[in-house]
Amino acid sequence: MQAHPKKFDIIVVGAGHAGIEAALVAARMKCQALLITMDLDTIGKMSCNPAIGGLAKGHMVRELDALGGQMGLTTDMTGIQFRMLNRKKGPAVWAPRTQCDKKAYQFAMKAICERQSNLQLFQAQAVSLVVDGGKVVAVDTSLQVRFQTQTVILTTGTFLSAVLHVGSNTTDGGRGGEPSAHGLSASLRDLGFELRRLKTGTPPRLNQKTIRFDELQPQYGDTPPPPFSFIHETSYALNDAPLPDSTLGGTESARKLFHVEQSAVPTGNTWQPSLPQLPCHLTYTTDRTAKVIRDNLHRSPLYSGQIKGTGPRYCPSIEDKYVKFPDKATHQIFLEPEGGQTEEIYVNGSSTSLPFDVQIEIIHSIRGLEEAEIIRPGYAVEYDFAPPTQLHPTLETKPIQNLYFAGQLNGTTGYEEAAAQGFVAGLNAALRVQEKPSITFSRTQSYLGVLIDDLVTKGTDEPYRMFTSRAEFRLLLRQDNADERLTPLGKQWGLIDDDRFRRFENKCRRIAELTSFLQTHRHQGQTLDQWLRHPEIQVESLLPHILPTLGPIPDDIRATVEMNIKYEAYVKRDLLHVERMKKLDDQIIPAQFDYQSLRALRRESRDKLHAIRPHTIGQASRISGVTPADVAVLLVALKRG
Amino acid sequence: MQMDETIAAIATPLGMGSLSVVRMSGKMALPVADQVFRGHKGGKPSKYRTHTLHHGLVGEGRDVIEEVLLAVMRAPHSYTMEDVVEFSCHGGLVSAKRLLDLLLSKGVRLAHPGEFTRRAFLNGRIDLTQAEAVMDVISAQTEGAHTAAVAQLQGHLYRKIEQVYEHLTNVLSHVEAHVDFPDEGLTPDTRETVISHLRDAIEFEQQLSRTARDGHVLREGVRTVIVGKPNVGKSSLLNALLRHDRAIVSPIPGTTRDTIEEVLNIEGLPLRIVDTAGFRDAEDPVEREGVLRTRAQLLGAELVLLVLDSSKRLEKVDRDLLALCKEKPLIVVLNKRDQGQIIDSQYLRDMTTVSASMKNGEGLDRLRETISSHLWQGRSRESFREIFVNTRHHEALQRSSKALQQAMDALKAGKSLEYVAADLRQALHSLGEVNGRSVTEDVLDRIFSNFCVGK
Repeated sequence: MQAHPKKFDIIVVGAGHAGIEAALVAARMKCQALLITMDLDTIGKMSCNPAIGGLAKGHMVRELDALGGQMGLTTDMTGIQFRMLNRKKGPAVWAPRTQCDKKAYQFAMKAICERQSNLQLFQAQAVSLVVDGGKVVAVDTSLQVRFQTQTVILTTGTFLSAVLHVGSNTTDGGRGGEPSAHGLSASLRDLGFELRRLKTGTPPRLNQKTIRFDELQPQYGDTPPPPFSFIHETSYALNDAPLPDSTLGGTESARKLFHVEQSAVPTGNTWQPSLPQLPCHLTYTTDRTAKVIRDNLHRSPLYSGQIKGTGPRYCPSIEDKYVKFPDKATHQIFLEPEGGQTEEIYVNGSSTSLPFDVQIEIIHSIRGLEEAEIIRPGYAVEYDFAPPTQLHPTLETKPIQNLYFAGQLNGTTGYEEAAAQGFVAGLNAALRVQEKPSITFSRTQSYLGVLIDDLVTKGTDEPYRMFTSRAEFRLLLRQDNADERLTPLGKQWGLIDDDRFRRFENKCRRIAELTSFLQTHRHQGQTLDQWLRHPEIQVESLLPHILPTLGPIPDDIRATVEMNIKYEAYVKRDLLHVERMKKLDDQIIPAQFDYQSLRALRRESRDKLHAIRPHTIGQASRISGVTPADVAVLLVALKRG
Repeated sequence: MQMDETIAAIATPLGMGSLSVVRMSGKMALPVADQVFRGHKGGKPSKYRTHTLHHGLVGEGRDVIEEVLLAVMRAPHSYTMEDVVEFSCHGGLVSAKRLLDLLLSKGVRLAHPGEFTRRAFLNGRIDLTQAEAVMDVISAQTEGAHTAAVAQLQGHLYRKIEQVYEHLTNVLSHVEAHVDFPDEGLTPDTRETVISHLRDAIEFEQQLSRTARDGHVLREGVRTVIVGKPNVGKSSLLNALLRHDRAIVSPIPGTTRDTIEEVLNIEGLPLRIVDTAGFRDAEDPVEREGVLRTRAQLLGAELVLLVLDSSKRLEKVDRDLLALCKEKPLIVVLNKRDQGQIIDSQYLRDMTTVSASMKNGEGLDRLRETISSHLWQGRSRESFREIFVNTRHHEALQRSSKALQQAMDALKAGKSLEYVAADLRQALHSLGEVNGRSVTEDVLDRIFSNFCVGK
């Protein structure tokens, strides 16, 4: 084994959505970072659906963006259809979702990583971790090169000892056409980690020239397209010169990379996507689909016992849908373009691991796809994950210091969940290198906090996906106020530059201005904010009163203020609960606390607390099976010191 | 756990015929005491010196609950090391319960079992060497509470609460499916359907709450007030009823009061009888206080026995009394039937009346039967046997119903579904305190089993 001459601060293993955010945040915090990937051409590859965002996921991307993460910016750069979901409901549960040009996204991410100062890329397979005195100190690669480092972040996705299933055909592989990673699983087990198996799947891809689109219902994006990044919002551009080109550099690059002909440089204050916008199409399965699946169910590796890993309930395979909901005659299928430079179509809703011949029959049974050609078969992938209760809320592992895990390795699913963890792991590794206190995001503050607290406190038995219903404070954790919640933190770590911060403060000022205007101005005896409390009254209906004094109000500011006022009672109630939760989360349990000697704890609680080692009383109280009485015992024991 | 909240509970055992102490501890104890206590010598509890006793009235506005002795113990020199106020009530459990309800309505939370003791430990009242030993006791208590809870869990109430919890989880899963999966072609219930489900749930919870009141009756007795003008035979009635039940009677000496309270057993239901001072014409200023007191007693009455003289025509005082009692469950006892029946029976036509003579014991059995059938009205003995409802369950049900009502209002007002979900969650959390379930996971499970979610 030969040692690489440079010693790094942070090595990130794996360059998927978690690895990218981890490496970028580390480098942007001025740490010397190395990103190791098995294939440089697959950096930021979207292995499954060609979309970023959606309910709760979109919220997390907005949070990442507010903190200075990359996913939102690259999504804006490479989006081919922008929508705000749930517009019929209140702004708290609006969620942005964008169809991306997959290849554009992937190569934009590669270019961004390549150009990032303090970040070095290297193509190699990491095969084992070197640990000294309980701390990770180096990563060995398959080419017999040892990279020394202070910290390591593992973001191995679905690649650890992974197996692909198409019917009874099984092959070694971490993603269609790519080999799995061997060695690391054994290395982790040697270091004392528990690994278990999970499963996830992906649908077949079609060639769009063989699809009869004229029979199908097209779905277009919103007008104007809602961007992901706060810096692309109208309110950030107000009272200022148009955004400087430096912040849009990425967009410019994307245009150059993909030879976009149209002029897409934003004019004035309105952001516009840089790639041509494309529709998706909606179609449905038929009676024939049901029959094909029923007749061939015995050939599914899911039901034959061939696949042992647990799959996600909310992302079931098409065969699962028919088995679990036999009464539902048809299921929606979305045909989503994978990009502007390819004919490939993603058949969203038809994830399957049935044999290839059955896949053809299923596809042909769907309206509009009667003659469609499958150009990549659907498959299921089974892989190792490390149950996340082995992690601290900083995503550092409990057994090995300075080692962090993020992404699907922790049992999650989804690009956004991965990116969120990657960011938190990268941030904490950088803080460790700089010998600064680590950061734990709270449930009361962000979906990032909900995600990580759920993972490290409760663990997971199936691929974990975020839902808004997982957040106790969904009405506070909105996509529109992610910057209010988090941008000051991003600034503190140097991830938000002065220009952006000024724009952010400007937005906050306008929100305060409009709020106080509404509170102090009257119409027919009632203040305007009282009027707003009537369900049928919107800020828009009050504009005649507002415009003469404040001038035009950008939509995003309108929505935020309206939301704050309309639902004040709910927000107040939530804030009370937030205070309560904070108090419990402020009570730290020492790392070496001896649960086993606390005889007053019930045996089950003692074992669980010992295994999970919660950092705070609040976290302890959220462990399933730990009762309020147990928490009281803990409090007493802590007082005793 | 939540040490910032002020808590209160009846601190004396729920036995019969003893003095009851209501204890309140926490930051708000003194300010809340200021709101409910009027000292005979003036002043406010928040101004009283620590470790002093004060005689006065508790109640709200003009509704006096009763006379109490109030003790103030300021932090840190109290059992919990927080500000503590204790009310000693002579009026037995019924008035202690009413005082407790009043405190709860002021934002004070009902203490969990053992919580005063727990706070005492947590605040370091007990020193380090003692702590371990006391913790064993506490955990034994919890163990005991656990056993009791398990017993309850297998019972009637738990099944009922489970039933409504399941029902609401289902409703919430529909609302959440609207919120979290807007794009998946699901067809969750419409607003109208959800409203009708909520209406059912509230009705269900209120029925349960009513059984909670029955449980309260079983444990703490039916507060029964005997009223009537002087010398009409109130005390004779009380004595006559008691004579049957000598064995279980435990008189509470009415030290500072001129009402006395007795407990008697009518077919298994305890009756807590208050005999009031005679009700005279209110023109006389000396008697005005007696009238006020009668009025106050009637306010808390769950059953009123109004005694009239059957041998005389109705007087103005009688008619005043009838008017005062008309909102209450009322049995009119026509006493002195041995001396003739010239009372205007037309006037009493629509009321439950029992003709009797305390002098020769005539009609007493019928009176007992009437009281009994009145109390058991609409209740089966079987249902009683299974009820274990306590104030905490009752409180949880009430909070749940309140949140459900808000959810219904939000739905009707056309508010967006995430707010409806917030109220529903609140309602489920309240029930979860009783059945110990975790709402988030239960709702997600339900969504995945109800809907084919996921592309």
